[in-house]
Amino acid sequence: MSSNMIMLKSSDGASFEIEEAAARKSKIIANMIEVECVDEDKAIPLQNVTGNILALVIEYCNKHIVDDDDDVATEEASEEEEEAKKKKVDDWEAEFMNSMSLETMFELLLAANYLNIKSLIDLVCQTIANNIKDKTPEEVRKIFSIENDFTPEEEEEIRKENAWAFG
Amino acid sequence: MPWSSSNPSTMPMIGKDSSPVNIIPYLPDDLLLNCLARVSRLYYPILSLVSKRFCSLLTSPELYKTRTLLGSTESCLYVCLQSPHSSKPHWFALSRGPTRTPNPSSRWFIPCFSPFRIPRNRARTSSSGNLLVSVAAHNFGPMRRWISATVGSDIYIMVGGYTNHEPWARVLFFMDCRSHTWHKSPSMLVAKKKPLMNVVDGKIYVVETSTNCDFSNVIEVFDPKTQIWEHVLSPTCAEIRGTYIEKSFVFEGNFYLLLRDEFLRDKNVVYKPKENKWDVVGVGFKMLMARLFYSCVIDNVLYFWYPDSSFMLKWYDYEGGSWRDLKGLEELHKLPKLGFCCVSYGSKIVLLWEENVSSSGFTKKKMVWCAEIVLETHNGQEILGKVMWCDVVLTVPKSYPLKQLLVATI
Repeated sequence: MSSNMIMLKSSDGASFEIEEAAARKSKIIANMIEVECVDEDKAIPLQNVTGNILALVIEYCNKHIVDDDDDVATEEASEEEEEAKKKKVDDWEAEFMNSMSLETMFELLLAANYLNIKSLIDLVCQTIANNIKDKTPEEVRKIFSIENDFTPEEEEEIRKENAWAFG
Repeated sequence: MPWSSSNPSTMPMIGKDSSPVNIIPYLPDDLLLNCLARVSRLYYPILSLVSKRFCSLLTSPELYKTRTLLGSTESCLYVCLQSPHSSKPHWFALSRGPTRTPNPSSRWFIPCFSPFRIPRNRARTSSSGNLLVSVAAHNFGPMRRWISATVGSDIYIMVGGYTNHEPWARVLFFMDCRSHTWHKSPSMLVAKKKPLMNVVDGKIYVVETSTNCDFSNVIEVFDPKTQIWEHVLSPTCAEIRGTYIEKSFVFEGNFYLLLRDEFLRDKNVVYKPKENKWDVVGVGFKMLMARLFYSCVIDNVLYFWYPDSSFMLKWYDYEGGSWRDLKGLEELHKLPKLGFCCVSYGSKIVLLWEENVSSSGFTKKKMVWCAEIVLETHNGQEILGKVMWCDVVLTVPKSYPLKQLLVATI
């Protein structure tokens, strides 16, 4: 299998070996492989991704490459099996997202975006979306680490526009 | 930057999970839009208070493009109340209200979902957190005789009427519910006095009802995509001679006209847009009743709310050929109510009704209640309703009549 392994190098110098099939989850890496700018002996440098984030990206890709292989192997799987498998993936993804800090999650989203891994972008965005509903504006500001840049007058104006009472 | 003896180029910028450093990276617009587009629109009024950037992204066309791309469009409930003192109607959208005690103990904070229960003391606070939030009003014409319909994310209004026998309803007004701005359609081919309006397959059918048995050019259709008005083939069946149009409705993708002759006998015709032809139909008495009162159609099942005190929703069982009670709504039965309506809300039903408030003040008030019902089919023959939530969503002066209840898809 060694011929199918490629090396990735993070911005902080950490090297990772990954199966080509898993690495192809990233459209950017898949493109590099297509145009043969991947030297077998050299690692692909990923300047925008740090080692700890790249490790998470690789964990995600490895998990999902296994799932994709399963899909091919069990084309005739029954509906229940399909459902059980989907639940397993969902559970894994929930646990995966749950295991990281908010800061890491946002870094992971930027990395997924840079590497163009659509399913991982979807997963992180959905997790963030699920967790910003039913929050006060102040709580959402904390999650995104942003300041309230409205003046009290502007904020009052928006509150008035969305009058929560009959005006 | 913290002082470190290690080589800065190999020092990770991001701390490990246990690190006390907590810098949330900045998300570019496309990623933030991707997150916001996945959040229900119920939360948009609250999220627009987060920052200027959030506020502008939440009203941007890009957000709605992203929602469409992701398939995260949803049903949004709009309610219109008429002020008795001015011609200006008040429009409201169902949203999450702003009041909630923050819980900072979780990294995401604890969401305020709580299991459904009808508030025992019937206080004016909403336990689901859902409220009617006011949105942009329009400023056209007297609103005595107007009709409405929705196509996608647009709410269409048509104001009928005439001056010196000259009809003046020539255009449709519509609110783009994404931006809550009002616009005008191109002029129709023939002005209308007493129009009816229905939507079939994304196109708006407008029927003139004051034609005294003349059915030529009585129906026009407007395609919002092409912005073009066209005449619809007129019904020519011999049976309709001497009748007038009483009501129109849409069922299973076909456009029905309920007609009546001078002896008050019902005649009904149906236009099938796909075949571009008219047929005479015998619409059953019960279906006619349903159309005259409060009803909605979901997955081609007709639901019907008879305005009596029993608060029962009924559904029409085609196979059995009879009306059946929608079970599971017993907890709603004991609530006091007057003046209500129901509407299909995606694959669910929304009920809206009013209750007078006893108050000692000068202005008598009423509460507007709202309930969302999920429908479950059992064994393919029994339909059960389940109350998702039920709350007072608005308190208004008693003199404000409820004009419209509409659902846009955004």
